[in-house]
Amino acid sequence: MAFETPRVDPLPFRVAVIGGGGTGAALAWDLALRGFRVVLVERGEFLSGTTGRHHGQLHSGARYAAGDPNIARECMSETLALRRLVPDAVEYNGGLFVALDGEEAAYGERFAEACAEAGIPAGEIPPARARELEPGLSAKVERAFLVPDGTFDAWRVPAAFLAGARALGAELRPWTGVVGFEAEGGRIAAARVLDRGRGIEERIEADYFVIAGGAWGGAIGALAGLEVPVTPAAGSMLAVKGRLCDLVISRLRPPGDGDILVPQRGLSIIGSTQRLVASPDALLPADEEIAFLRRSGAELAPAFAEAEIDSAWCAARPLFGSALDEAGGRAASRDFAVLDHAERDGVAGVASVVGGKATTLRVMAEKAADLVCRELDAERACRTLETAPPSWRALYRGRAS
Amino acid sequence: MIAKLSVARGAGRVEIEAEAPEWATVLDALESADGTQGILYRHSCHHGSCGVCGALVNGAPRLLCRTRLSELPPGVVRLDPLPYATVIADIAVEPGPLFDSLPDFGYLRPPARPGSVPDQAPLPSDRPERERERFEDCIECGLCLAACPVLVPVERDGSDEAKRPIRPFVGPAALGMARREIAKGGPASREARAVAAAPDGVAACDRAFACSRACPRGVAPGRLIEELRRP
Ligand SMILES: Cc1cc2nc3c(=O)[nH]c(=O)nc-3n(C[C@H](O)[C@H](O)[C@H](O)COP(=O)(O)OP(=O)(O)OC[C@H]3O[C@@H](n4cnc5c(N)ncnc54)[C@H](O)[C@@H]3O)c2cc1C
Ligand code: SF4
Ligand code: FES
Repeated sequence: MAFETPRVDPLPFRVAVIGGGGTGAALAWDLALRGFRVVLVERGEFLSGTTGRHHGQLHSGARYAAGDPNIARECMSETLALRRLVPDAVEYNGGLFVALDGEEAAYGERFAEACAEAGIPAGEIPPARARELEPGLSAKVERAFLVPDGTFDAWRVPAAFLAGARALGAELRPWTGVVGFEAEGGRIAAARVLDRGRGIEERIEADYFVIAGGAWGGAIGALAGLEVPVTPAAGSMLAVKGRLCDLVISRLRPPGDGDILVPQRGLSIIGSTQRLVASPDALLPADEEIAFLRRSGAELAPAFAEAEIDSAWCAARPLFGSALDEAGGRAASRDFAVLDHAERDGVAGVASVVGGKATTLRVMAEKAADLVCRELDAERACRTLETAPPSWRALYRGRAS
Repeated sequence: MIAKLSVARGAGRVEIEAEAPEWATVLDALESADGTQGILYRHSCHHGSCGVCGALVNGAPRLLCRTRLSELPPGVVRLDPLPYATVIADIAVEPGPLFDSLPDFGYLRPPARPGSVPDQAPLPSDRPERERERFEDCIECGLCLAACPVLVPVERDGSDEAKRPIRPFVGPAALGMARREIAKGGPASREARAVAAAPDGVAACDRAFACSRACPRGVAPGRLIEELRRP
């Protein structure tokens, strides 16, 4: 399928996106399609923050239906949208929620009701059928529900959006981090950035700034005196060699630690854990997290216990909100918000996108771009639902020197 | 343990030390040390899935995230940029030539059935196993290009001369993709045959099999190229 660059009706505004993770990538594509001139700055390589590192579960929303109906609904519609828009980067094989004990089995009713309310089809199947579909599954399965989960390539989906933005003329600047802001009359007028490749500082002017910094959002906002309510938490994951399942396998219980098993190429990944951290940089899994994940994986698929470990790593979770609850923050919402800092902090010309999932990157971008349109008085409809981006490969094509 | 790394920086090098657990990878060590040194290196998934973290580790093309410090000989670990790509700074590169070489074939196995893209929530899991979707193993990391003696001929001494291919060659990754597309009877089979038959296709390969040895994902592009030679 050849990509034809969509026609764009240019607007006389320049918008700066700060952060080249999944959210920033989708936002650059959305804004460029609406006609804005876009500059995106990312302090490292694109997608080197949280986005590249997640499990790759394309969430139907079933996991969040009981606690977070809003994000559950968004997940369901975004799953179908991404499947349509970036089909080469999605494996759509479905998911299974399984109860391994009586307590989990009893949760089945609540789970099924919540999924129905959120518009997520969840169909109960006999445990024997579940093990027929996934022979590697634990023999302890007492109840099982099929849900429309899938997996996606954590890198290729957002890379395709970046490639689309670049094709529309967006200026994408990896290796360029924001180190400060300049305000004029209560409005952000410029960002000061460090180009790490060339080792020089520059000013980037724009009519509007959007902080899409994920777990780093708080630190970026602080450079402009803004309060961005994001708490970084570390989430560890463990991959073993061998594909133990094709469907995403989850525990039938409220979201917690070590309860998702995701197939990815020749690997099986179990995740995750959660602990608060002072800084989202240079996170490594703790030894006890690795041991815990190993046990959790084996509970779902016994072969996980003996399989050779491929890799163990950690990603910074951008928790929306500033305090953890007693349950260690798992009950904290996975929902997202677009925050207008003119309202919140009295600083105009800047917004931030916080929370959400990689699955919901497109709709987060849509909401953020809607705000940019309102703020700049340039109403333009979102086009990302009907415009497929080019291949992720286009991001680096034709750039040899 | 303390890891000692020597990282290319332009014509010189930076030496760093990093505290890292026994099981840590070269990438983990770079991450822990990066705060102070500001070294540029590419990384994303940290588990051998995105393909961006390729570099020369002690002269051999490897993924930083899948090279454990414990498997390397004791002493300083030398890190250099992949030879076929354009260096941005340190060991970070623009992987343009790799992606220029790759055709846009579909990436799922088996090919999706016509009309199978749902616009309503389906329960895809009820599909028979043979219809399940599966990404190809190739992560498009380009290590096979870096290892190829046709593309990167002589001693990798960092001089520009050393980087020039012996002859035009599309490279192992693209030919491997072509072979798989043909094998699964994918929609781009014809295009794939043309890639293989072109002068810079199969005919340009010297059968060194360095690509298969370098591939971190067991794709065995060398074998796939051999399969393309058979009529
Ligand atoms: C353990 C774990 C597992 C997960 N699993 C899943 C899953 O299976 N499915 C799913 O849908 N979601 C999952 N998520 C959630 C998902 O990964 C995140 O919500 C999403 O990736 C966040 O994207 P982002 O673009 O907002 O943040 P990021 O990807 O972190 O992007 C922010 C970017 O800002 C950059 N930056 C930082 N400071 C600066 C600066 N000063 N200047 C410029 N740039 C800067 C960073 O380098 C970074 O690239 C998981 C999260 C975790 C932690
Ligand atoms: S064939 Fe192997 S070495 Fe070559 S790009 Fe693919 S995964 Fe990397
Ligand atoms: S960081 Fe993704 S392959 Fe190494």
